[in-house]
Amino acid sequence: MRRRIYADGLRTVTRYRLRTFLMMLGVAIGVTALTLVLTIARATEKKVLDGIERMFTANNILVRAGGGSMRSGPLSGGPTTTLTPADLETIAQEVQTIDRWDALQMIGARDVTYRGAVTRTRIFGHTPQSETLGGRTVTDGEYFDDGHMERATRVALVGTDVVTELFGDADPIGEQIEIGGVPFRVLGVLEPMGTDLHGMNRDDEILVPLSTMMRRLMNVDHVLFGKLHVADPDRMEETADRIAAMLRERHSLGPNDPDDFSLITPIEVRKMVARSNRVFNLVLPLVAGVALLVGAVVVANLMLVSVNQRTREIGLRRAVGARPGDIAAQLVAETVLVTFAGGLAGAGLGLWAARVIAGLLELPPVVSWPALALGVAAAVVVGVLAAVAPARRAVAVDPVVALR
Amino acid sequence: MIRLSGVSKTYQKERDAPVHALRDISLEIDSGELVAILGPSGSGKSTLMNVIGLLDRPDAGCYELGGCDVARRSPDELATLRNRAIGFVFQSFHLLPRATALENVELPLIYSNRPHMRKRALAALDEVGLADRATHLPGELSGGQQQRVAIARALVNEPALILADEPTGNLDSESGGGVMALLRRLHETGRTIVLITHDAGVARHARRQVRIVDGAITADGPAPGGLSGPEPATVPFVEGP
Repeated sequence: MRRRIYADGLRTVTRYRLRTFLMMLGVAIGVTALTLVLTIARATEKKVLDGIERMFTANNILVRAGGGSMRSGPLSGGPTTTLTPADLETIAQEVQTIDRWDALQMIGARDVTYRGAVTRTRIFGHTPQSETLGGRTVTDGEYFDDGHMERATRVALVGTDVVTELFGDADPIGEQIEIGGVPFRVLGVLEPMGTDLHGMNRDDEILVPLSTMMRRLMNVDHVLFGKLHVADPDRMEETADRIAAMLRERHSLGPNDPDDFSLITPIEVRKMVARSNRVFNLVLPLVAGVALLVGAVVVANLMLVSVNQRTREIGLRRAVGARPGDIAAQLVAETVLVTFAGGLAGAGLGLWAARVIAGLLELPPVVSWPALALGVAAAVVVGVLAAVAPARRAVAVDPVVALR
Repeated sequence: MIRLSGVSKTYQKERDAPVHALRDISLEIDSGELVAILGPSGSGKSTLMNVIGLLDRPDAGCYELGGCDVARRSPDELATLRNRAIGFVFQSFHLLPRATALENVELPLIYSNRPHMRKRALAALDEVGLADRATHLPGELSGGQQQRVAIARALVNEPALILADEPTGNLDSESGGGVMALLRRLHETGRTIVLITHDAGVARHARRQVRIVDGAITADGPAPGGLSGPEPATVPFVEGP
């Protein structure tokens, strides 16, 4: 019997198309917001974690020139010219848990020319280890190697945007460009990477060997960052302590002198990410929840209006044998059916919108199944809650009065 | 089949004087009868129909339907009883405007466990001569046809009793005549029909008339000319006074 009641509910829902559409819309908007927010939050989180993964390959300790902590702002506290490749090389040799290292020096912007074409871009100096430690390789040509590093050869890896600016569609490999007036041979084209965590376009940059950078472009003997790969992640803290001690010794710091470097371990970074994710995971769903609540109010209102309009119909149903529970069951079924459909539509729409927005923000495509499930489940809950008041009113309809 | 003894019903609205809609009504209707309950507007006949139809409970007195006292039945039991034992025909048809004729006829079957819902509903529509209008919406049917759909709906659960409240009240004389002929034909196949009307012309179709005035029965007996009149199919519908 209940099956017939539910089937009749379905028929009723299709008979009042405008009302059904408006109810679906009310729920769909809320669920779209919920799915969109959760999916974008998930995608952003993934991007942050991917970026960190790329920066640390999970097991890297970052050494930054200058003291202070990472949260106190960039390059603050102490001199920033004391960290050298020799420090890193020595640490890598003496600390057994470290098997590879990389370092970074950079120039914020410099003119780069090729046969009259000019572009202004960032220049990075890295060791050949950056190919594996940085998780970025070349799609064309080849990466520089230890030989290039030793001889401080003037070779460059160029980002895809630089290629477009200088060469258009032509093949850049082997061509000679000038960086700040110094001639370089293009050795490879960097793998496209898009925008990074800091909002920098990583396809608009040039990579050269660290030694070439330091000697031929900047004439310095220090680096900004060092990256040390820890082979045994279980000994991360211990290794970090060892590195700190060695650096203090090598930099001749007295017991009362502050560090002139800072260490960032993956553990610390993960703590930071967790802190920022609290915002995503708590505040944003709350906002979406409010949207859903509005949807529930819309549905409940439309259902109440519907019950008022259908008083005669309800009276008639009672007269031909519907029990009060049957009337309530049908109303709840109708509401849940509509909100479920609205929830599905909203989840699909939210997912689609998330994909579009993720594309615009260069976020990784993520399908957040928990977000989808939560959206549809929330819609059903909204349906049940929104049906309570109308169902009570419907059950209270007196057939004698209704059929007068 | 129906036995009312000493049934009273009083409506008390705030501040207004109480309205004694039914006063000490005692009435028996046997299985297979066609009875007209005749009375002017406000006489209490609709209240009587609501009580007989289990839509309303009397304040006093006893009502037995099919041998069982219905006074202490729960709302759910009354609903089930209405579904199985009673078919309603209303003056204003009360069809669902957005449902087809067939879906309207199916309505009582939704609340019963009888199998073959569609087949039964089609058979009922066929019985009232509207099988070919099954997919029409009420708005696409004439008044007479709409009332015949309502009668099919009343028949579909094969109830022991059909309660018709002013079944021709909203119809022109020709359609009304058709509806009355249909009800008489149903009566001839053995169904118990109670007609509630203010219209003596309609009441003439019944073999027994119960007159009700101010909530009390004033006369109960054979319809004047009802029994001796010509066969219903050939009786022209007579407008009431």
